[in-house]
Amino acid sequence: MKSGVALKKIEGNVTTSGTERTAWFLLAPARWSFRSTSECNQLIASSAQRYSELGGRRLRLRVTSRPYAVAEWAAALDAQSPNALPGWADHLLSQQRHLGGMVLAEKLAFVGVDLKVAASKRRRAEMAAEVAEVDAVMAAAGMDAEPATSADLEYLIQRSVSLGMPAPLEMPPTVDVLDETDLPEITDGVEWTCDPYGRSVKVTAEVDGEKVDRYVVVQVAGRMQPMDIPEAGEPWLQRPDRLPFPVEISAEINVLDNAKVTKGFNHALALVRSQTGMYLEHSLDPPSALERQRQTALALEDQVSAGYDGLQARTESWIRYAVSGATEAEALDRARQLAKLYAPGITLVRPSGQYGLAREFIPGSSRSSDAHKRHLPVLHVGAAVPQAAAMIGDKDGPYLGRTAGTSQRPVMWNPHAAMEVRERSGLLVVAGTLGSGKSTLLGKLAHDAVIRGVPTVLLDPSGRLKDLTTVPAIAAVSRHIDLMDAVPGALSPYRVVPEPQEAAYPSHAAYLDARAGAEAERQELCEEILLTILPASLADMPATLMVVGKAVRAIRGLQTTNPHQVIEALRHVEGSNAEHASDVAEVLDGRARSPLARLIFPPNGYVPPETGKAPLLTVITMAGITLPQQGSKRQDWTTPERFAVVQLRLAASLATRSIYSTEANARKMLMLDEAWALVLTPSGKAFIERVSRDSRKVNLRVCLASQDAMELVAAGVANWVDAAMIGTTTGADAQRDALSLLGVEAGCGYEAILGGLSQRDRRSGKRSPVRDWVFQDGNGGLEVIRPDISGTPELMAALDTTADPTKVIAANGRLTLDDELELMPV
Amino acid sequence: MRVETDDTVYQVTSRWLGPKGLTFPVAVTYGSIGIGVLTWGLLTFIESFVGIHGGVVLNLVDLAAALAVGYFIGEKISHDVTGRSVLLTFLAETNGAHRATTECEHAVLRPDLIKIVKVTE
Repeated sequence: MKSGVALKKIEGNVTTSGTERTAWFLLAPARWSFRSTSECNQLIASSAQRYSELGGRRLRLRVTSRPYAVAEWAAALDAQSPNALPGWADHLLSQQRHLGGMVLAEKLAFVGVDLKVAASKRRRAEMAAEVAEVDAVMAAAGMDAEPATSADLEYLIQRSVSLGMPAPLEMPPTVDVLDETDLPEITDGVEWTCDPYGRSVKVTAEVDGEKVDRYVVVQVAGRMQPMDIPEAGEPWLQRPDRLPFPVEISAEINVLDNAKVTKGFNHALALVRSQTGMYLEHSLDPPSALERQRQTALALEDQVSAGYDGLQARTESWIRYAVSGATEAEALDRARQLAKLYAPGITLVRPSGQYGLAREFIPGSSRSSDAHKRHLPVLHVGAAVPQAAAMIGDKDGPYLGRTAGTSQRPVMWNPHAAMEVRERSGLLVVAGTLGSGKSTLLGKLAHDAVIRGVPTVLLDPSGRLKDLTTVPAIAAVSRHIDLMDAVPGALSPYRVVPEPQEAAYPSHAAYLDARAGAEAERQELCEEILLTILPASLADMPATLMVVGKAVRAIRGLQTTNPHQVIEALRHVEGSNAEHASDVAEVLDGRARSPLARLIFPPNGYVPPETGKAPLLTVITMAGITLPQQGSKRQDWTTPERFAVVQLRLAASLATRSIYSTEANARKMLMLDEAWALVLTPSGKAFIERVSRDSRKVNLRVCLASQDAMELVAAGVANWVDAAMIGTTTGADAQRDALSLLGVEAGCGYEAILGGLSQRDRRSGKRSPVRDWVFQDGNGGLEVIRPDISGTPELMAALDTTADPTKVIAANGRLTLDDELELMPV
Repeated sequence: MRVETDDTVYQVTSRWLGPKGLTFPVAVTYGSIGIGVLTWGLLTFIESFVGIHGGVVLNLVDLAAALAVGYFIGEKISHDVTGRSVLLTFLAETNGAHRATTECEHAVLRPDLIKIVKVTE
């Protein structure tokens, strides 16, 4: 066989080999996960339509991968973090090291379209017109392809020439002029050898000054059984993404014109007739396969000649898959894994002529063998969707984790891009049952925000995240507040609503309006709090609503007002409801004296709000709070549960106070756990609506976390949601609500995915250490992701909230009976 | 929607059952017959070229050899792996300059043959 590549010239995106010219395009990645059936069908049909528009041409498909550009990401993220803490540089470095040690790659799908007009100086106009025509087809829906750049093609040639070698970590530098002096870097020092009828091709190349051998095995697509499109899983050319090793794909697709297809069918019919006649001549029954073939040929011939929508076009296709290994045995084992992945729908075979087949992967090379030609309708080719890839996150956000679906790619997400770039609300909903990894996820988001200098307030009633303030990199700028130990009156409804500052308003009139609004808000909040802590039978009486409202409005809603003043005012309500008001005052007075009311009713008058510079991270916990069971009715709440609901509501306002006092353009983050309890009260709903609405104006990312999404959806939160993260969700209703938050059509089978995230291993009884989430990033991306904090061990230690009794024993030693007796109160 | 390949249509197996009125016990593909005829012709040519004249016995041996070769190669050929591809693969595998056993280690790539031109917009 002739040695040397056939490629002679690369001009822009057009390669020339011999007399053949091919225009190369890079397909835009397309999201496949969580698409509805109709969306998938639409993508397949559009793609098939594009293929049919390229009728009469030969296409070359080449799928490869590129290592994630970690350094580029780090530079972009650093540029996005102007106020980062002193420990930022070390953190970014460790994150890069962590990512560098992982096998994370981005898929690249190239399509080469053979051009018909031969290169000639006299036919430049024709050549340009043809290229423009092909460009237009490739840019249309279904392909969304852009002409490949010189750097893209250089990378593709490098990957193809060094087939099976580790992908270069550094991208070729983008330069204005590329000439032949640049190419020896790509092609020198690579040797391919293969024994006659050998099972693999040995590729030897120099990597970092050392000779590396890799064995490449090429398999081809053999028999293909009928398939239902869109496929239940991923498209058939995306399937290799499931494997933990890279698979290179090369295909030649000849889109046939209808005349040729009809001729082929007629030829087949003639053969069938001839064979049938021969069997009858010999008084034998013709094989039933002949009749089946005749019927199929007639039906297809009719389809092709009658089809005007382009979706009946036919192709001849040769599809190759290459896997590699450090040894021939490893490469063959990987080939077996790939074949198993495709079985039984598509049979992969490893034919002879491995050398020639491997050469086909190099752009510009011709097909080495006619064998294993597949006659595929364009719909079948369109359903391959080689560009299908995990699409999630952005390129300049903090590292969140990696995709956990078919392909593994890093997920970076900038929480403030919604407000700063897309000008949308900044509401993120995090919903997942107990043990779904909610605390870890919130902790990671908060840590990554604080280390970048973003002021963050985290309201965590359960207190599981209090250790976040001890992470060394952020400990100096963090504070933990346990509200249960706070001064009495810290959660007074009059105190938690901040007093507007005149300097923040454009005019005195606007300031006065804001002050009046704050007073009204305090009054409404106090009225709601008082009604909530009353027994339901009393609170729901019209007379109660009337007298409480009257008493609240009798007292000005100043920040210095004490709720005890409202109770006193109730005692002085006059008129027909005076007696009832007095009774309500008595009940409220009793409740106000209870220890549970300590935070709401200050016994000694006004408690001034804290002043001074707030820390970057404030974690507010409420240890011992007893929230009602999710979904329970208000009438069934116990008194502690009533107080818990109002305390959480007031704590949310308290948490927001410092956020609103920060400069509007500055990035901020507010995280509220157990957010479902907030929407149980009208003012809680209004509160969430307000922070969601204001988030864009004040550059605030709001994270609402809840065990499931039902209450949040019922409160209408879905209308304001920008992004959502859904963890393990069980129950049909909860799954339906979760899908609505994700913007995914219910009833398409995605419910099962929500129920199956982070499942418990029944044999070991242990939950998987990884927790998967379905993440909708607010920018069209939607994938199953696996948050990763393993690159930050201190954070991992602080966020490990899983109960582990061995830790206590290890720390304190086991108590003896004597110890216990000593500890018993006398 | 269910889609399937058109492969079945193109995979009509043409067999010769025998001359009219005489049905062979085994149906032979036309491909195998062609290979057998070629083999028989080649053997006859070589024998006449070398000058071997063996009469009926040799002719019977030639016929048996042609049948064996036709059957053996015919087995290798299918709709997926055509006779042409078998021949091309055989030639490539036996004459390729890529064998590790050759004295010179062949560099597959010749960078001097490639030229990259950056197109200015």
